[in-house]
This record gives sequence, structure tokens and C-alpha cells, in this order.
Amino acid sequence: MDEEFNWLEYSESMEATAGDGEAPGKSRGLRRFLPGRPSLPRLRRGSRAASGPPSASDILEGQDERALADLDERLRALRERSVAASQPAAPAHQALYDVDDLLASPDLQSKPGGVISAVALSKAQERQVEMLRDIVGGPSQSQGTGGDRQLPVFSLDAAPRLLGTALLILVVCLPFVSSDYAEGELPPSVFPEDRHGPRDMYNLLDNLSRDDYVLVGFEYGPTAAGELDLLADLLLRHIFAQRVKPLIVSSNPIAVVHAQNVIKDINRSLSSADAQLVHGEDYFLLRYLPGGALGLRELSENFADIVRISARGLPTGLEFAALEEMTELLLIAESAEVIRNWVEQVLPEAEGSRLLVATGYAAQPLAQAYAEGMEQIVGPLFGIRDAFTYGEKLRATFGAFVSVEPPVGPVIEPAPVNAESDSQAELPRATQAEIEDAPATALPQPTETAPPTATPFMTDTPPAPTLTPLPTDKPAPTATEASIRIVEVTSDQRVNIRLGPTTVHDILALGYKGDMFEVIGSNGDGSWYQILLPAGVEAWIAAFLVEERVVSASEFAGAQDSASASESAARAVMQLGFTLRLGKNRPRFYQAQPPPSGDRPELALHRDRSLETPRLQAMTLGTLAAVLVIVFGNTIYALRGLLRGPRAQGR
Amino acid sequence: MAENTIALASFILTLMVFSYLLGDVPLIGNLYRIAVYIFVGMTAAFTLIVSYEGLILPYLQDIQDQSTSWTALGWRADIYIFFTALLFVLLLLLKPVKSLTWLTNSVFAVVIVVGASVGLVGALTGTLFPLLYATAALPEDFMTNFSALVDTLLIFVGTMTGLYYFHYQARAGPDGSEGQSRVGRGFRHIGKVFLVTALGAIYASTLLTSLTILTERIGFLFQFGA
Repeated sequence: MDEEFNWLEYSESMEATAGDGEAPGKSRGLRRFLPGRPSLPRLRRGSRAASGPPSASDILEGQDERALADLDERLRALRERSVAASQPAAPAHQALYDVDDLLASPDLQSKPGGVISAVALSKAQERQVEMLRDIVGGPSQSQGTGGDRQLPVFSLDAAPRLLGTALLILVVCLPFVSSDYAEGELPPSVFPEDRHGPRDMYNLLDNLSRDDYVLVGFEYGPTAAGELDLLADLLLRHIFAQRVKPLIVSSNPIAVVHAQNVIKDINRSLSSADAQLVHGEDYFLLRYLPGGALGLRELSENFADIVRISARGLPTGLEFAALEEMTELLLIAESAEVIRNWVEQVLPEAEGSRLLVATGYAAQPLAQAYAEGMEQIVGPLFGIRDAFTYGEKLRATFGAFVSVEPPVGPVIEPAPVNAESDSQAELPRATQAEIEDAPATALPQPTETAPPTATPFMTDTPPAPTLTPLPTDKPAPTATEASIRIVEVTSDQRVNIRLGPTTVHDILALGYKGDMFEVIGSNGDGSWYQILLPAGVEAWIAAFLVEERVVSASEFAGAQDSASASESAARAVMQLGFTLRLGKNRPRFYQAQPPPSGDRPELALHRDRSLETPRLQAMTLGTLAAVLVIVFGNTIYALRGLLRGPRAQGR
Repeated sequence: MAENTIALASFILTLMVFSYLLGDVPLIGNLYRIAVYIFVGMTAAFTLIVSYEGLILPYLQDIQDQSTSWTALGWRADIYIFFTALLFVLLLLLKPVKSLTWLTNSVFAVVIVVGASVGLVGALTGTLFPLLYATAALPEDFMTNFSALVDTLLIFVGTMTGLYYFHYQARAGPDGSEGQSRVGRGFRHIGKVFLVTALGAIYASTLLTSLTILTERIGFLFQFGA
């Protein structure tokens, strides 16, 4: 057992067993790659003929040198197949593309000239690229040799493509010139009930307080501005309206410049000079992160160093020990790759924070999968349709902000369900009408006459689960003092408190280790507790995150008071009527109160609705036109194939 | 005035980009190219400025002052990092020298290997395992909710067969032929359906992105003309 395994002898014996018919005395197995042997690879015979064990690259190089006869049957068969696959394929228009061709594994070919330039397309890959070019209508390389090739603009072959393009442009232009072609409905003014991600995203941002910090990953440049600018604008305005200081960072240098422009646009829209956002006070633009995934890795591991320097190379004065001090992370990204990099490189270091994702349509499938699969990821918001809805929510909230008397006492009735507009009730239309009438340059200002319950924002109808009466066999602490059954958060992580007893219900509030909540019931199997938040709103928390206890009323009240005292300036979240606690290691409760006068800065959406509506309708029409062109083109293609089939057989 | 100038420049550049629709023909085709060159040139210039202002300049200033440090590792570490980076830069500059290309490649090798390893670990711990756990976790109302049941089964079958599609291992048959078993081929076919559906969804999403940007630009043109 002590004898060391000898790979050289093993490889020789294996080849001898295979009986490859080599001449006696010729080196076998790995030994043929050792220095000084006759079969030494060509490159090693040159300047690098030093002694030493063979490396993997040496062996690979050696494989190139082997004669075909040296290969065993399977390798020879494989080679023949690869040679056959490299033969020119049938013209693309003569056969339907096989999915296998498009999904085939890459067959990279190496060429001399460096690590980067060494990666070149194999013949098979070139054919796949050619197919994709043909499918998407791009220029075909097989028709020319270089970039100076003239496109066959006016040739007969290009006619269908030109026709399709002209049709698409025409259809997209129509809604801009006449409202008669307004096809399709505008996005809803509120997010549908089954889209919990965007609703959670809005709620989490809206429940930030001025002591919070949000790390904003601004990961798109001018090329995606048409799709993401509106979304970024609204999200940043929402953050600024909470008087939260965003720390903006990016792994794309142009995105850093673009972020500056977006904030400049926001500043331009603010009427008051006092309300202007100032770098270093209201927001921080951090230095650019070079290296893509590597830069993001650096952000997560050396967060303290990165926040010290601004994009202009000046000290920011920020002192953070770690990324987890951020209350939330917000990512506005244009590509799926960037989202994946943030999830893989940044999120693991941001324990306790969530990643709120806003993206475009192209990256939406991946973002959706992440949001549904990982509790730490919230969202996604995507495209201008969601931006439209998000803007309506902001407008509804801020526009109908009214001065109401602060609720007194521990019990605050949740807003009536009918007044809540998230369920597509009356408010969307009312809001829509109000918006249409409103001036396009500013939000309606708060008025004293508006009804207090005009737009409570987030008051879903909690489901009516079967409540199980709480067990009563546990003794009360004392006979004379009232006892309260509570649950205390035992999880070290921030926990979600939800509207209903499932994880698909909206997040209402957040709890931290040591938080106590009064229990008022549980679901059928006891996996969720129904609790009463300090403001009197009923909510649900998962049982495995908490421990149930019975405490005296005075003990419970003391715990509540100490928690409340830590928040010196109570602040209204909206007319939510619930209590919320946010901010890692900064416990505070937000009591439901009206917003102090002038506490919220100007939001001023300044959205030009006269342009936005045709844009959405043009997109709808354009989608229809694109689908029609694809269906029509494929029908013609199939018919041509059918008609040519018999002729071909006849030949 | 400045805003009007910017708007006018945007208008003209947008028209120049749209000239691509007319093809790569003389004169008109050059308009598109000019717009692209401007964009690429501006991008390169801004990248240089942002890198210089935000990265290089603060670093150079920082290493001159022993009392401050760019990193938490201290001033001495900053010096080491600086000279390592400088060495890498010099090696990269040797790229045109054919006989010394291997030195440049070694720098690329370091960058690529470090990037690949960071990416690999991140992909496993940040994407694959969490999504596997999420796929494996059954919803609470799994047995009573039909849609949840179907949804879970679809995710399970899609994930399994989709991964199996990229399983290329074959076995030799009695006649020397190579191939997968019938079950394996069946899994591959099902996986192919899921993959093609996913690719179609992504392609449709990309199309929608293009249309969004197109409508935004056309909207800008109409707004400018109004």
C-alpha cells in the first residue's frame, strides 16, 4: 500500500493492452511527452526544453502531434464526426433550423496569438452565428468579406425585410400622430394582487427613514436609457422623498456618468432652489468598480474602502464597516449578466438586506426567477409599463397626502378594503381621471379637503384563515396581573411580517431578534401566528422564527415603550395605520401619524403624459406588428417549402 | 440655450442612427457610422475620465501620504498593490512585441483565472444552490392547490430535463455504436422543449426591449417636431 502509484507505467500498460500496433521500443503512454523523447511536442522542443513533469498543456499539445493511427477507434470516430460537422451546411433557407444546431455545445478552436485572441469561432459556431444572423435579419458574412460590404438595400431579396421594417415603423408611429390608433390598454394604476414583488418593493422603499442608507447599483448606460430612465427616475425620487441618502455605485463607467445626468434631471424638475439635491449631502456617487464581477466582489468585501471615495475622486466622508449596514440594496440593471453578478458577488455579503431589482424586459426572465426563488430578492420591476404603474402609485400616495389627526391609542383600524386601490377597485380610474386633469408638470399638492382615506396605499384584504383558539393551559405569570401571550423573534436575521399566513402575501413590516408581538391567533396547523402590531394592525409571522411566551402586561408594555422611545421623531409612513420597524441595528417604530407639514420634500414627477401614453400604445401596436410579420413571414416560408418539395422530389 | 442645443444634437444624432434603416449605402450609410463613432468615442473618453478621476488619481495621491491608505490593509500594502498593478500595465504594453507576447498573455491568464474562479464560486453559491433549494422547496399548500402542484412539477421537470440536455455522456452499444439510452433521449427531448421555450421567452423579451427603445426614440422625434 505504501508503494506510490506510477502514472507513467499505468499509461504504458493501458496502451499496450489496447494493442495499438506501435513499433517496439517506441515510447508509450505519458512517457512520450516527457522531455528528451523523440515524440516531444514541437513547441517543447524549442526554447522550453527544460526538465520537469509534464503539464496539462503539454499533454494537450502532444495530442495534436499524435498520428491518426495512434488514436483508438472511439477517438477516430469522434474525429470523423467532427470533420463531417465542419463541412459547409446546406443553405440556411433550404432547411428549417434544428434546435440541436442552435443549442450545440461550443467547440472552441484555439489559435496562436494570446489568451484573448486565441478564442476563435469554430466552423460549427460560425454556422450557428450565420443562422442567427439569418433569423434576426442581420448582415450575412457569407455574402461578403468585410465591413465595407454594401447591403443589398434595393435588391429583391431585401424587399420583405424592408417591407417588414417599414410596416413596423409605420405602426409604431401611428399613435404619435393620431389618437384614433390608440390600441391597447394603459398599464394599471396599481400593481395586480398577484404581483407581490413590485408591491413589496414599493412598500420597502416607502418605509425607509431618513437615517437609512440605500446602496443603489446603477447598472445601465445611455443605450438602455429609453427603457430604464423613467424607472430609475421614479425610484430615486421615491428614495429622495423619504430623505434617504442613496449611495450610487456602478461597475459600468458610463453608467456613473449617466446616473449624474438622471439626478441632474431630477434637480432640474424641482422648482425650489432649496430642494436641489446636493452630492455629498443628499446622495453619494461612489467610485466606479472596474472588472465587472471582480469589481462587485471588491464592493462586497472592501465596502468600507470603496465608500470613502466618490466618482470624482474626492473623499465622501462616509464611514461604513461593512455592506450589511445598508438598509436595502436597489439594483437598476439592463442586462441579466449584471443582475447575476450582483446576486452572486454582492448579495451573499449583505446579510439582512434585500436586493430590490428593477430591470428591462430582456433581463426580466432571470430577475423573475431569482425573485421567486430567493427570499432575499424582491421584485422585479421591469420596463416602462411597471414604471408607469409605479409612478401612479407614487402620485396616488403623495398627491393625496392629507393632514389628518394622528390616531390615538393603540388600536388603529386598518384602512377599509374598498378604499384600497391595489385590488383594481375604483381608485385607479379615479386616479387616472385626476391625473389626466392635473397639470403635467407637478403633482397635485396636499389639500385639507381631501378625505383622509382617499389613498391608503397598502391595505390588502388579509385572507380569512381558520383561526385556532390559542391554548389556554399555560398559566399566567401572576394571578393579579393581566398576562399577554406574545411571540418573541428568535431569528438572528431580519424577519418578514406579512399580511397573510403564506410567504406569497405582501410584507407589512420587519422584525428583529428580541421584538415582541401580541398573539391573537394562529393558522390551522400552527405554522403561522397572527399577531397584533403595536399600531393595532393584524399581521402574520412564521412560527419557526419566533418563540411563544406568556408575559405580564407591564413587561410587554415596557418592551414596547423602550422600542418606541428609540425613535425620537415619529414619522408617518403613509396612511397605513401600522407600525413598522426598519434599519438594521437601529430599532425604531414608526407610529401611524400624519406627515409633519413640509416633512416630505417635493416629489414633482414632471412626467409628460401627452407623450407617455402614445409611447405605451405604440409599443403595443409594435408588438402586434412584429408578431404579425413573424407569423406572416413563416407562413410564406412554409408554403414555399411545401410548393418546392414536390418539384425537388420530381428532380 | 444649452438645453436646446443638446436637444437639437440628440434629434440630429437620432436621425443619423435611424439612417441605418436605409442600409449601408454611400453618404447615408456614413451618417449612421458617424453617429456610432461619436458614441464609441464619447464612451471611451468618459471611461477614461471616470477611471482617471475616480480610481487612478486618488490612488496616486493616496500612496504619497503614509498617513492615509487606499485600502484597509494599510499604506505599505497600497505600495505593493501599486507596483504590482504597474508591472501588469507594463507587461500589457508589450503586446505588440511578438516575441514577448507570452508575458502579456500571462497577465491575461491571471485576470482570467481569478475572474473565472470568482465567477465559479459565485455561480455555485449565489445562483445554483439557492435556486436548487428553491426548486426543491414545496409550497405550503402543495397538496391542496392544483396550480401549485402543476407549477412545482413543471419547475422540477424543467430543471431536471433542462440540465440533462447538456449531458453528453454516451455508452457503447453491442454493435459498437454510441448513444444514449431511450430514457436519456426522452429526457433530452423534453429538456429541449423547455430550453426552446425559455429561449423563445428571452427572445420575445429582447424584442420588447427593442420596441420600447424604438418607441422612446420615435416619441422623442415627434416631441421635438411638435
